[in-house]
Amino acid sequence: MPSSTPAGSSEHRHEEFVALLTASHDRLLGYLLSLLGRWHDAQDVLQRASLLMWQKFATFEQGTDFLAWASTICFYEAKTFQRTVSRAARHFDEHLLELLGAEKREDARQQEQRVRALEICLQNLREDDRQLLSLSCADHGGIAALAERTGRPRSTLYNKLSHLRRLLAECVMNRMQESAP
Amino acid sequence: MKTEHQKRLFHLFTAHASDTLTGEEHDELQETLRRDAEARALWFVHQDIEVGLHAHLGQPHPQITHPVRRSSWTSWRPLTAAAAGLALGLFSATLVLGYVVPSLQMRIELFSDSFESGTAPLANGKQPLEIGHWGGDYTELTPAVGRIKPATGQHMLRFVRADYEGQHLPESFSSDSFQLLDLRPYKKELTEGTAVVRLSALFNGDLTMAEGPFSCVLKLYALDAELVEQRRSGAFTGSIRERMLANSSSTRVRLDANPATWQKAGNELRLPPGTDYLMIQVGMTNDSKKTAEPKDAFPAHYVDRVQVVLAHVPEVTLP
Repeated sequence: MPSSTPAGSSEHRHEEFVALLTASHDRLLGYLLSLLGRWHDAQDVLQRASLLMWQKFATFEQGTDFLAWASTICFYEAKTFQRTVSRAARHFDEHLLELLGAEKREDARQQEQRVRALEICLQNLREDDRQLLSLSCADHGGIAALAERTGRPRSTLYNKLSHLRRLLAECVMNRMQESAP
Repeated sequence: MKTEHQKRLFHLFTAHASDTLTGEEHDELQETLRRDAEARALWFVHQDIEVGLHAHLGQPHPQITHPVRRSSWTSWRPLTAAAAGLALGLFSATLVLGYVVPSLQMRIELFSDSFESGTAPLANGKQPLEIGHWGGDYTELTPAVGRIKPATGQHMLRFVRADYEGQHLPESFSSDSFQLLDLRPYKKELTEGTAVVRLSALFNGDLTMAEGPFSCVLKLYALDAELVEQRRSGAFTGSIRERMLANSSSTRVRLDANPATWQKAGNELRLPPGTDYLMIQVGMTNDSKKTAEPKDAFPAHYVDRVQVVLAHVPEVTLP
């Protein structure tokens, strides 16, 4: 077992951590997004949690489930985040957070399939719709910035993005159903 | 779930994501998620779509990416740098994550082709040495044919024959097309040995029109400038396999029998730091065991949306 001080850990341990975190990144981000619902918040918490994971990496037992271990750290970091950020009123309460956290752990294995299905579904969209979604990603969901960038009214953009996401969700769910054994 | 209810939920999800929920809407969303398992399932799909949209459409964040590359003493071992940053309190969490997981910050699309340019592929049997051309066996650009529609745009590439102009090869069973990519502008991305390229493409076929089975081919060859120059000048006429820096083959993705869906296949190669060019190969092989039948013609086999993406992935270390 390596020292709990990161600076004193072996290079091998460093690389192991990087490899595990890299492999789990998208799932952890998906997990946090399911708890917090906002891209910026999920990224912020994942960054904080990544540091914590590294600091606690000595307690992680090699060969056990890194994703489960990391998800637990993410969950508590999400709770801490909600307590400390000023927009706390717009976050979910602790009971719902726990419910979402528990169910998302079960649901997580479908994430990769959904992301793969999405790639095909995106091809069914018109180019300008894909472009709008791309701009929305660049602005991390912020409607005001997107409205400024595109010169379109916020309400129009808002309805359009909501509609596109619903279309994509339906397409992804249909594809998942079709490919189910 | 009723459409109106679903619409309402997506309205709330989008408003939550953009932080524009009113107090009442927030309570409504929270209450719905608490009591309705179906709404929670939809919430999870919605969030996975967010992850997917950023993966497929998102761009790297320059503020994170560039500082990581500037500092020479921290550039070699990402996590060592992160640890140093932690120890010295030098970096913000964002920056440290940039060190810890460089691959998360840097996905560069090197190449994307949906065969919409109208430029016909060369069928001279040679791997092209100029940038921007497909070349190799007989292939052709085509719009929708029968039950096969392009995966994206109006055109796709059809594999026609397993040979090329002036060379009839009845024994051949693989139709391939190649393209050379210039990686020299990305040289600094390759210096640490963490750069991995992923070649992906969508394949389809109308298998009722032909025997088979058929497999999709995706190959990558890392080449240095010297080899390419010598091939161009004619100083070296051998196979690139003799002098390539590294290569990777994926030849066993079996084409399914459903012409309505495009099948995605991918292959990856870790690039040696000395890589200057990347040769990509897409193809189709007829794996039929019936030796008496010719396998050199491909009546209804297609590829579309060929992409090459570069990312940084740390090497897996041996115990």
